[in-house]
Amino acid sequence: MNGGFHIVVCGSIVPDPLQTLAPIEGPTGPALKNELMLPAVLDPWAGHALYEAAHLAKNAPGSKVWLVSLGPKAKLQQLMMTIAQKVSFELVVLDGPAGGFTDPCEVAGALAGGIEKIPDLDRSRLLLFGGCASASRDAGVTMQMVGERLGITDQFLGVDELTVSEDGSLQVLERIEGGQYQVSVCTGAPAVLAWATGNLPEPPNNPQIGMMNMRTIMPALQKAQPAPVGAEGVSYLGVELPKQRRETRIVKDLSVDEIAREIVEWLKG
Amino acid sequence: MEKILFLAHTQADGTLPSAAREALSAAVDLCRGLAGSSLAVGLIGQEIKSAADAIASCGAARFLAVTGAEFAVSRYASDAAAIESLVRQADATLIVAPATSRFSRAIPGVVQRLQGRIETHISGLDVADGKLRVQRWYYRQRMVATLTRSHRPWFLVVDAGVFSPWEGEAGSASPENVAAEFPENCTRTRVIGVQSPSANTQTIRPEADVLFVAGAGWTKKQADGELHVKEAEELILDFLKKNNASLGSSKSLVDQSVEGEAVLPFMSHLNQVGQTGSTPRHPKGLATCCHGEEPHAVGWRFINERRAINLDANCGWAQGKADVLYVADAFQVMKKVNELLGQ
Amino acid sequence: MDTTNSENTATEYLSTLPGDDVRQIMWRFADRYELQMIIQSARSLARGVVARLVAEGARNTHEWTEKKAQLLTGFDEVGLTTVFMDPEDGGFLAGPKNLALALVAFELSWVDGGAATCSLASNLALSPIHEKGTPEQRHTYMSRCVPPLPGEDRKPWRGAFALTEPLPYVGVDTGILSGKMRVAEWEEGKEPILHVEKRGRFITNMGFANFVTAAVDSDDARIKGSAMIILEEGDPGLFDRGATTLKLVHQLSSTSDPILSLKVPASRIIGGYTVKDGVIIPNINHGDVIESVFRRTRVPVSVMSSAKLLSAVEPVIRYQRTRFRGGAASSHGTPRYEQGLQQKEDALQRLVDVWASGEAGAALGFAAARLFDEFDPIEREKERVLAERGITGARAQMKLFKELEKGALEYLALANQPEGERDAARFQELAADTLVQFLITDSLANVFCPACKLWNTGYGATMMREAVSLMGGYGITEDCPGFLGQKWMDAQLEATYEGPEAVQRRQLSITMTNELFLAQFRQWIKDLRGIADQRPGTGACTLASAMELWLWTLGYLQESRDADGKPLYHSSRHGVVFPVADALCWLLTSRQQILDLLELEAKGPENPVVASGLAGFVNFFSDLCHVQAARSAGEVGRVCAELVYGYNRHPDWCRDAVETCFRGEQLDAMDCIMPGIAGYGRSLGDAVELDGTHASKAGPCPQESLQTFMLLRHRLDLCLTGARLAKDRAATAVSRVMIPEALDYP
Repeated sequence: MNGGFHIVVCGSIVPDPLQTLAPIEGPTGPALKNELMLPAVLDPWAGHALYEAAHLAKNAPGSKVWLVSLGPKAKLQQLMMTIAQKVSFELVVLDGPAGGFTDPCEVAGALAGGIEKIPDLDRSRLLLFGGCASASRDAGVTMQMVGERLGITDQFLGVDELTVSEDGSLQVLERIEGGQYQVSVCTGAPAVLAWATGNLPEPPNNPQIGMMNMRTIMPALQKAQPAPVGAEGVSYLGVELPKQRRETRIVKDLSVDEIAREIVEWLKG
Repeated sequence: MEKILFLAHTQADGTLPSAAREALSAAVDLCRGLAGSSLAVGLIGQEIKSAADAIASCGAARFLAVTGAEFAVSRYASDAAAIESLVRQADATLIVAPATSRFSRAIPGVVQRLQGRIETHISGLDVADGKLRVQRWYYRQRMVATLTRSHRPWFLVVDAGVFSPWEGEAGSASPENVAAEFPENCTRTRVIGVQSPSANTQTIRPEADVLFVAGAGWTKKQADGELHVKEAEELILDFLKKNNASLGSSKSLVDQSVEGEAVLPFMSHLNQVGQTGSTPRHPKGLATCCHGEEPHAVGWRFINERRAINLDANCGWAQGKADVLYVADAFQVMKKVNELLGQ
Repeated sequence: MDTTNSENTATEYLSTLPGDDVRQIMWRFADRYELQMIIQSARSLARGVVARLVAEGARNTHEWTEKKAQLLTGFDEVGLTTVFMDPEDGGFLAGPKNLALALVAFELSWVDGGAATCSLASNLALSPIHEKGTPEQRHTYMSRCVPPLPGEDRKPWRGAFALTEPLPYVGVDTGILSGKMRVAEWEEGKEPILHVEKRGRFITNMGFANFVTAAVDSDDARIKGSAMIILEEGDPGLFDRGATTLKLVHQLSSTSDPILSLKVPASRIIGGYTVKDGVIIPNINHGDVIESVFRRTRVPVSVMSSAKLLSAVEPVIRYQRTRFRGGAASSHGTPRYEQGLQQKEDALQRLVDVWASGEAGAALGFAAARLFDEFDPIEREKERVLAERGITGARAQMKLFKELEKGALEYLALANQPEGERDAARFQELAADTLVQFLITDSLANVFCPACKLWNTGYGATMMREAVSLMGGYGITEDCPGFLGQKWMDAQLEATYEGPEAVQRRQLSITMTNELFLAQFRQWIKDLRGIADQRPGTGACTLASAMELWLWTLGYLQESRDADGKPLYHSSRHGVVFPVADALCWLLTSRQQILDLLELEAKGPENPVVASGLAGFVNFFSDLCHVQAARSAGEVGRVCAELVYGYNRHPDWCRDAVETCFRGEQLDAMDCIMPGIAGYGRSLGDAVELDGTHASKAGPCPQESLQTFMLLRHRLDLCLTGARLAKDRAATAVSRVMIPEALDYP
């Protein structure tokens, strides 16, 4: 590779999946109850994208990784206490809402704007990474829109594997229907890769990496650009928790044979 | 008055995927519901005539098509060019499309090009007071919203399994060929092919009647204090084979492989169901050795009948998340179930 | 959609359980990112590897197993091993590390105390070397214990700290050692070789340690006194790890009774040695080393027990709320279904008690850790100044400090005067005087360390039992969510190791009477009244009253004698001094809890995340402070009354009747002049009739002679006003707080 890749990862926070989520009517539309107070994690698929980016950067000398995050600055700062320990990157902060009820078009606009302002970003070497969907809005469209805004027309969705050849070409495995992968080869950067889980485990925390990263992350947080995205033009007519609640029959006193028989009857019924 | 465009692409055999027929149902219903609206069909593929004929009687006023060898494959640049041309040609205000992997990749970029707006993973569409209302889930099926927009064009990408497939007489359609502006760099990406799991490891079957979910309990020490991973593997694969079921997993089980613990070799993140996995649609689901905590159970949102086997009578399934919870040893029960299924 | 949110309700209740943002403010590390990252590291390990080990039954063996050894690689991988190291030794954290280590212990013991012990024990082994070792010793052992960097092919060393010995001493009196050292070889001009014999008992990390820092005494005229010495696995002789201790608790730490009989060079004596007249004189005796070590390492242990109490809150709430779900008797939407056991006041209020105890303990523990972070550089500077002045030996040092005490008291007095009114030049002079500042900080450290170790672990164990009881039968099963049963059992060891409760009480009984400490204590009473003026709902006034009572009682006990004429306040009179020490701990924890609340209230608005739920947190924590202050006041009142009155002999019908009782016939006679006095007098006081009969009881009631005590005690009782209302509010908040769907560890 000529000088490595410039990998920009888009990713932000989502509520920790173990938290209780309840919709409320906020001043600007739907929101989550106690939204700011809920412990947050890096959006899982974006997280995989970040780890893949770091892994790739390590193996392609001269590469550099940026994480572009749109979310409340204070929450992102808290997130950095975990993420910044795992891999090396530079942070670009867009201070705005990270909830699910914002419009992906506006989010994509803010992200693309933030990326365009990254100094020294070589667009010819750009690999735009992100999750295949967020765990909040779960639209699966933002990365493609950011890619379009940046003029990148080689895009991949639901990526689980990227192999870079010596000539710089990219072989990509994308999830498609029925547990299959589509295999494609792209001649090289620039490209958009919206990742699924990839193949890498979550790197362990390493406070030493964190301390290094924080030298640039804290100034980046201080320089956060406001990004007041919303959902203009969307009228939410209602947001509710699913009402369907089952009356669970708890079977404790049947023998294994009886349970098996009941299950088979149900399967065949 | 809306100009509705139903978008679809053909499969390798020239037919439409069933998800497309379902989306067509939605588009047809929408056209009926929105007074004064018109319906057009836009098809993409190497050759689309037979697919167009198969839905000729759907009520579309126009059949538009982008065809050619370049459009045989699922690729962002060429697909986006084709979709853009079709939408422009139809001057569409509402675009209804199935959530195939191909469209999920390509449509959002087109929305950007056309300054449109998009809703994906649509789980319901209706019209009230002349307004189109869309239902979709947020926070990975934790809450459902109903919304509407005034902005056009508005792309509506419909999830599979929500609508019944369109059924109607075949006929003879007269597709108008639309020239797609084919960008120069469109072929920077070449599709090499499809990697399918071998017959033995093909465990994800979207069309299956039953989803069988295995949790981390299968690879834990059992009552005798020993691991029984091999036995677990045999029991699960035997059940999948005998019942033609699709295999799902909890996050904790698939995570074990990256954490170096005992794992089931045929299980990967593709099988993961739940908050950070998939949300499959099957008529029935059977959960085994899995606690049914909310982050996993949200992946069951579209499983109609749910039963679970777990040793813990207080597990998440007992909290109104399953119809029946069998408090029992899954190893023993599944062994017997397999025996009965084999008879 | 629900329109009620914490942002817009009039009476703000606790919205969610307090998260990291809240704790960072309360425990004063909001601006210390390195600590925040260490917490995340420790947490990922605790709620991942550690929790899985516990869930899979790894605690069910006494032996150190391969599975348990995952902990060690885990510590290395996530950077916990190096938290203890200075950057020049391969660490990443510069400066004092007391708060960092306390936070690590807190996070690990949130899941399992044994895992925390395992982590702390490695530091404990290194501590003597870190605190008192020669530069070479420090460099050698620190760098060996640093995990290998990428590309390095070596295994990190692990250490064990061997002080405690088999019976008869068992470590209770650490001044006497049966571990011995003798000169084995000493060739002219060469390093002497020592033969060290040490048998250890309850030695943590011994199952895998590569080196041991052992306390030994001289058994040879050619060695003077005692020392701590480093023994390595490969040294010639016997390095027997010994029998595994069959302990019922902390099974994720390795403990055994090693037998060590090794030949080592004298250069292994920690702190080095000098040779004078053919005698090896260790530069630092073992007592000085362990004093320096333990005053720091006891602090993290104290927060371990508090972490466990706080960790119990979420699983108990979830258990209480879901208690009746899934049964036939409750259906969705009914209070029984939705609230479960939280419909009952008792369930809620007992949980409030558990929570308040956890908060108070953590508050004091972390305050102590921060204090030691301040103290470390002062102590080092003090040593430099003393060396510069040529002051060596304990006696010379004590003499100097006695002289300096006056200046320190003057500084404290000036510090409490308004800035404009005090002698600024003198204040500045004293503020810049290292030795004065050392004395003041030392007086606090000498109280805070034993106080947090004693109260947090001892009372923590009691309250952990309460937490277990709140889970019903589930509490004492292996798979109880939050492992509460294990945590309860473990607390007993936390109260015991690194100096059992008696040792802490003994230390407190001496240090709490230091005039420098008491001067600060007096000022705290005034400060608390001021706090109460601004924030009346915090229990600060209750606490100030309790502190006044305690202070008066201490003074009284120091000056008074018992019924037999023996002085009450004497270091060996444990029946007096130990309860006073116990009572002080209640006061210190409660005070620190209130100070944490004030910090949150003051700094919370600066963080938008905390600000969004701040009112609810402040309301709730205020109520918890009030609840705890009332509890502390009750304890202090009880202890003080028992001590003040308990050493007087009860009046006797025979001996004391003449002085203390009415005479029945006199009352009858007076009835002619004052009608009714015969009956009224008998009801008012004790009376003895002509025939010697009297009311049926132990004796005439003692006469009140301690007016001040009575007034203080009475005022304290009145100061409990409102405390139970606070408890009711706190209980309501607990019943409403939003908790996660599931616990974040198995």
